[in-house]
Amino acid sequence: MKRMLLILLLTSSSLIFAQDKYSTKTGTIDFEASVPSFEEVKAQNENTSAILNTATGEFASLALMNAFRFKVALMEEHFNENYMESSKYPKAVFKGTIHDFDLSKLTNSPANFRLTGSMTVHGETKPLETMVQIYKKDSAIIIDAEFEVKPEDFKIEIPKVVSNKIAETINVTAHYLLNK
Amino acid sequence: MKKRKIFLLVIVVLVVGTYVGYKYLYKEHRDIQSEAPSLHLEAAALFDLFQTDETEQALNQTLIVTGIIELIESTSITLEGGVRCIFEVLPEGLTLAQAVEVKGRCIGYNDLFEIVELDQCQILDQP
Repeated sequence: MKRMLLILLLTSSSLIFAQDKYSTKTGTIDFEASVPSFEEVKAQNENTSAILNTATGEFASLALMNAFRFKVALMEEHFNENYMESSKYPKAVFKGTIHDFDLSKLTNSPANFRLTGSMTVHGETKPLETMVQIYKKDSAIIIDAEFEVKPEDFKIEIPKVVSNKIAETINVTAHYLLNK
Repeated sequence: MKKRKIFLLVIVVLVVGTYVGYKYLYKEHRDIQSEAPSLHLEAAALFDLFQTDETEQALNQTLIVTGIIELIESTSITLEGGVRCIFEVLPEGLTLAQAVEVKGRCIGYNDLFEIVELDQCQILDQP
């Protein structure tokens, strides 16, 4: 396990220092699991990291669970302590590929690309496939994604008492402004 | 007379109960800057802590970290040794190579950039 971590660390560091990498530390992930007529269940993480290899289309993103902010403090506490178990599983990670990515063909107007990969949340890894919109803004690359996840897919247990106040599918949006 | 007393008691219990319940459900967010820090350490020492399994003492805790600024970004500074401190609004007058003491909440280790991150930071001291 230790050796695997070391290999992972070594490969991720070479990822950062290579030439074709665009990255951000201030990507935004929003999710909403609100049910009409109940308290809104919504949070935002404004410090999501992401790295894009423009030569291969490889894309990785990492969000620290504790950085998700809710309007209601108690909801934030329950999210971390009861549902996500953030002290045990402090981060959510996505690793994948943007298919047919070509930096030279990007324009200022959003184009659709297929993103496939795997997402690890709450210690559970699941495949994810979604369409993303990519465009250029000055020298930066902007990636916008929107997809749905189900808590049960990641073995996140929602207690019966509150299950009618939290939507079964959670809507996630991500926005990254990547710079070289 | 007795009826009136019971009625008043019920009203008081209801009012207090509602107030306590409301206070519990809508309690204030943590105020990191007023919390006592659980650790006071150098940036490199905090980074080393996250290379071990002893992260419980730092994760989601209020810490004070000291270090030298090696990178300044839009809302954060990164200290030598691998600690990124995130501010709601970046304080003015910070320069590279400056020694600072920062109080913030540790949100965890970022594998992609190989840094430990703190949010809701505030500069305590800039000698």
